[in-house]
Amino acid sequence: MCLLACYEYWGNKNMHKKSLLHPLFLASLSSVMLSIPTTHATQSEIVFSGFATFAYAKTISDADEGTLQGISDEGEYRDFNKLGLRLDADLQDNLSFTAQLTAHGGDDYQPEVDWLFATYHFLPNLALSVGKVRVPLYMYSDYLDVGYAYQWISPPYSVYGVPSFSSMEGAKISWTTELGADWSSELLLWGGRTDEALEELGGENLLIDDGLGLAWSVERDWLSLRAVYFQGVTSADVSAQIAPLDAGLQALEQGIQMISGNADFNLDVVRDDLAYTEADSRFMGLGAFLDFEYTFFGSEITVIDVDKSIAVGELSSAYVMAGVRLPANWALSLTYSVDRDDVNEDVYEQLETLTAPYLDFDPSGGLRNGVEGIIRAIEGTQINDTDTWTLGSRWDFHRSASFKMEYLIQKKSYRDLVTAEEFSQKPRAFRLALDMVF
Amino acid sequence: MFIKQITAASLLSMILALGSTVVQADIVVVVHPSNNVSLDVKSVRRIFLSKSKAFPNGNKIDVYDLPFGNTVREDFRETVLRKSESRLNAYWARMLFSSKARPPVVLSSADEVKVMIANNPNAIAYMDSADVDQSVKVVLSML
Repeated sequence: MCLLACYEYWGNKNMHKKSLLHPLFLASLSSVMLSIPTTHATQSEIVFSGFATFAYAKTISDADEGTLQGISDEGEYRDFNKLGLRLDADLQDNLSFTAQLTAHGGDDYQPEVDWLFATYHFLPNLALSVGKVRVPLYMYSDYLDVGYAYQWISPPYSVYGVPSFSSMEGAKISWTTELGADWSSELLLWGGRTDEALEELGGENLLIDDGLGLAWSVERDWLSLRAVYFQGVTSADVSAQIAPLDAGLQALEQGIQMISGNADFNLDVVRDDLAYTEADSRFMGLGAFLDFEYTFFGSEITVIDVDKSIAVGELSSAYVMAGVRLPANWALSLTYSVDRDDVNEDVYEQLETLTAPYLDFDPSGGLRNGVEGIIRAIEGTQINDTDTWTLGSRWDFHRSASFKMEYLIQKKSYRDLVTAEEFSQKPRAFRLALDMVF
Repeated sequence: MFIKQITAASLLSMILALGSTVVQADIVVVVHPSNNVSLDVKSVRRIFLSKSKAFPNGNKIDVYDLPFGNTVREDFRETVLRKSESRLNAYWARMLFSSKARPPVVLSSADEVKVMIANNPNAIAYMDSADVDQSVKVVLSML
C-alpha cells in the first residue's frame, strides 16, 4: 500500500541512516510506514501524506440551460483540480500535531490551511484537539477533498454545497467506545468560531460565533450511522442582495408617509430582518452508509434553519446513492440528490404587519402592489429547488489512484422575482477525474 | 469488446481465488509472550482495521503488517479483513485523512515481526505458522 510517503525520525540517527540505505527500506516504500525495531520510548515520528485530483468537466446541454455546479459549456480544465499536503507529527507522550494545506485550481492554486491543530490523548479513546479543526457537519467532511476516499468525483452538491464552510478555530473532543463485540461509537463535541469566504454568499465572509456542535456516529463492519447537530450565531454582508429591494422599500415608506401624514414612518426594522446579522442558526443532519461486498448504499439528510435573513430560507437537502462493485476494481453508482430551499416567511412578517393599516387607504392599490412585489422578490430570492441525478463509475486502476467518470442531469427550478412565474433549467454535464493519494 | 474483457477478468480472478485457496498459508495471529489476551477472528479484524485500539487491559495496541504482495498478507486480507485491496486502500485513506487512525506499520518480513513483537508487549501481528518460534505467542490460528 502506498498511501503515505513516510519519514520517521528516530532517536538513533545511525539507525535511521542505515535504514534509508537498506534494501528493506526500498521494500517498505510500498508500505504505509517505515518502521525499524528500536526502543519505543525514544521514537518520535513525522509522517507526510497527501492527495491530488485532476479533473475535467463540461456541460453538454444548450447554453440556455445554464451551468451545473460550476460547470459551464466552455469546459473546466482546472477549477476542480486540487492538491493536498498533510503532516502528522507524533510528539510522543500522547501529544500529536496535524497540518493540512490544500490548493484548489479554482483558487489559482493558492494554498489554504484546512487543518492546523494539536491533539492530546487523555486516554487511548479520549482526545482533545485545539486549533483550526474540521467541522464535521457531514459524513464525508473529514476527507471532503480526498476524492480517492469515496465513490464520487465530489460528494453531492445539493447536500455538501451549502453551507460550504469546512473549518473552525476552536476545540474538538473525540470520545470513541466499543459497544459490545460488533459496534463502535464516536462522539464528537466541538465549539469555536469561523470566518470564511463562501461562494454561495457571493464571496462574502460567513462569520459564525458561539458555534457548538455534537456529532454521534455508530458503526459495525457493514453499517455506519450518523447524527449531527450544530448551532451558532451567523452573520454576513448581504447588502448587495438587499440593495435592489431598497428602492421598493423607500417608495413604500414615502407612500405611507404621504397617506398617513406620519413623516417618521419607516421600514428600517424590515431592513434589519433582511440583513444577515447575528442570526441564530441551526444545522441538523442524519446519515447512513451500508457497505457490502458487492453493493453499497448511502444517504444523508440535512436541514438548515437560520433566523430571519434574505440570504437563507428554509434549506432541506438529501441524497440517496446505490452502487455495485464489479470485477477488475470497477464500481458503478447512481445518486439522486435533492435541494429544497423554501421561504422563511418570518423575514417579511414585519413588512406585512407595518404596512397593513395603510393599504386600504390607497385607492389605486399601488401600496398593496408594492408590498406584494417586495414579498415576491424575497420569495424568489429564497426559492431554489434542484434535483440532480448522477451516474458515476470508479475504476481503481492502481493501488493509490482511481479514475472516475460521471454523467449529471439536473433540474433547477426558480421563481421570477417580478412575476412570480416558475421556470426551470435542465443542464447536463459530464466529469472526468483522476484521484490519487500518496 | 469491453464486456468480453470484464468477463475474462472476472474468470481470471475466480481462478486466482480458487488457486489462492489451495495454496493458502496457515496464518496465525501472534502477540508478545506475556500477553494473555484471547481473540477471535472478528476481534482480530477490528484490531487490524483500527476499530479496536486497546487491549482489554487498556494498553494501546501496536499493529504490524506485512508488505503488499506478500502471500501471507494477501491471504490475511481476504480471509480476515475481507476487503479487496482497493476497498482497503480507500478505507485507510478515510481513516488517515480524518485523523481517526493510521494504517498498521509495515514490516518487511516475519523475522522483523518477531523482533518487533519480542520487544513490545503491546504488539500484535500475523505470520505463517511455519515462522512461529518461542519469541511470539499464537493467540489465533486460521487454517
